[in-house]
Amino acid sequence: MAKNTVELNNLTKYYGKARGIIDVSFNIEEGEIFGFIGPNGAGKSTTIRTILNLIHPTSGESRIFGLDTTKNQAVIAQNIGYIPSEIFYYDNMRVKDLLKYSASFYKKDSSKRMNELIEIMELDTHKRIRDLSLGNKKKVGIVQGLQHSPQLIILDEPTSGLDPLMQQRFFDLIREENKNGATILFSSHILNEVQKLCTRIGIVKEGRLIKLEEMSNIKENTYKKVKLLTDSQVEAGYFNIHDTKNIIVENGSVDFLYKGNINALISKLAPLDIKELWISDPDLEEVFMHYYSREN
Amino acid sequence: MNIILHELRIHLKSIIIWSISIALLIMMSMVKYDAISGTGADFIKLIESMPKALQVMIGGGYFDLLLPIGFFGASFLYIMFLGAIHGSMLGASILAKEERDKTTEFLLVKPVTRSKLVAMKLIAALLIIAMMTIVVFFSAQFIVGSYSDPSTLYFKEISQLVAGYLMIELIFMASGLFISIVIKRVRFAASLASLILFLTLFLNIFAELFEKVDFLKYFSPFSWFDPKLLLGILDLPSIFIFLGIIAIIIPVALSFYFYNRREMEI
Repeated sequence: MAKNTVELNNLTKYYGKARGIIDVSFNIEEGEIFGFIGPNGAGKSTTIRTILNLIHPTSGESRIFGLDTTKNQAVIAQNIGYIPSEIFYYDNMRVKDLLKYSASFYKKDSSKRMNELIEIMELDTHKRIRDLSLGNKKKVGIVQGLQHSPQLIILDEPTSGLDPLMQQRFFDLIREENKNGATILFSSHILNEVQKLCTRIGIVKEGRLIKLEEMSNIKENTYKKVKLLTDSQVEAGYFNIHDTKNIIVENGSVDFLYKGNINALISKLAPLDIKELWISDPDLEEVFMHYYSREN
Repeated sequence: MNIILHELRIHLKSIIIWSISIALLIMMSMVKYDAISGTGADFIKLIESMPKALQVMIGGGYFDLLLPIGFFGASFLYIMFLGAIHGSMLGASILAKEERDKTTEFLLVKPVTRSKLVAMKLIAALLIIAMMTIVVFFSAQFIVGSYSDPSTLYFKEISQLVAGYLMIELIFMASGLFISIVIKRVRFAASLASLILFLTLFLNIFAELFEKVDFLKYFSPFSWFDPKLLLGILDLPSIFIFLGIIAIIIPVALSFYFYNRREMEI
């Protein structure tokens, strides 16, 4: 069994009486890319700040690398890279100096990786922090968070402000870090990103973790959307194989949801004179909306 | 080490500005000496005819205002007060500014314990205060010296005054630091620290003015390190030195304790 890099046991955080997170428990195995999703205010950042020991849990505990986060923060931090959602640095410093200052806290020499990352992110390191745009600040955050090659990378909505090209490069970077052994906790409300990157997800709602699921399961266990346009006469019962739902036949267009062996579906489609065909995976957004709308 | 260097670099400009200001204040107080030293005894009579409140404010009655060091001693309370402002602002901001400027998310996820962070910041503050003290010492030595006979350099007297200045800076730095750590909203720390500063200054003045409330002296660092005690015109009770040391050590020790338990404002 793989080691758990992150363990949360009934982690609870109240701000006075206000709810932060309630009884959040999950583990992240070594080498995973774990997606942590939920809308603003659901408790994603609270969870992250609690395990980073910036704020203290009301009850429950969290462990990183097997160590209690409230007691061993300084040891744990040696191998953590954190990119917060909003980047605030010392306004007067130049980018280069900030990166060096950040690197000076870690035991290893990270100057080589720093320069690589600066190049990939196309950072102008002579600028002062105060003169940077939101996106450029984010890039500094990325270099700063990754330059010491951490074993655990914690990303809190890391892509805001980045242009699509940089987002792509950033995802490539994260995948590369993951391939080299880093575990990743990726918090986001942009489901498309999570879907592209993560191997497993946790959904938080109003401070509670309501779903933990393998990304592959989400894709397998959910219905595919099928839509076709045809001149052939099709009756609603024609596609009644495996698990089919919501069949709508209308003026030569057929819509339904399908779950099961894809070959069985293809053989059913083959005899038909098909003009257009769409088969699509429901995206994470639909899964997410499913969990979110259930109680409303 | 990296944190200390970082702090010193950040504070460089402010150290220069404060040094110039305090040297200017010393110079200005001695310019007045130049004006009155010529008038001699008349000036002393004038002072004696003033209401007591006014006399207290300028340290009258105890200092030999016709000597440069006497005059300097009489105006030293205000130089100490400036030092106290510097100390309390430094203490109230050196750690709290990380929260105010939202850089806690940068700094506190680094592999550094909170105690070490407080220690590093404290060392940086001590170095800054040491620099200020050296500036006060040399500018006083130079400026007061320029009004005196070359044979009387007042090295001892100025050292005694500056030692008091150092204590005052340290006391208010310690209390500023402590306040900034226990207060929930860091942006109020500086205002609360300066409130305490003014309060203790007034306690000192009241204690001087009214014998009935003489006990207030025990609550004001400005009374503990009153220039006339520093210069040995009156005896400096050892309880005052003791109080001074306590007023530094306790807030600093509590700062370590509370910072480890602090909920960061993000």
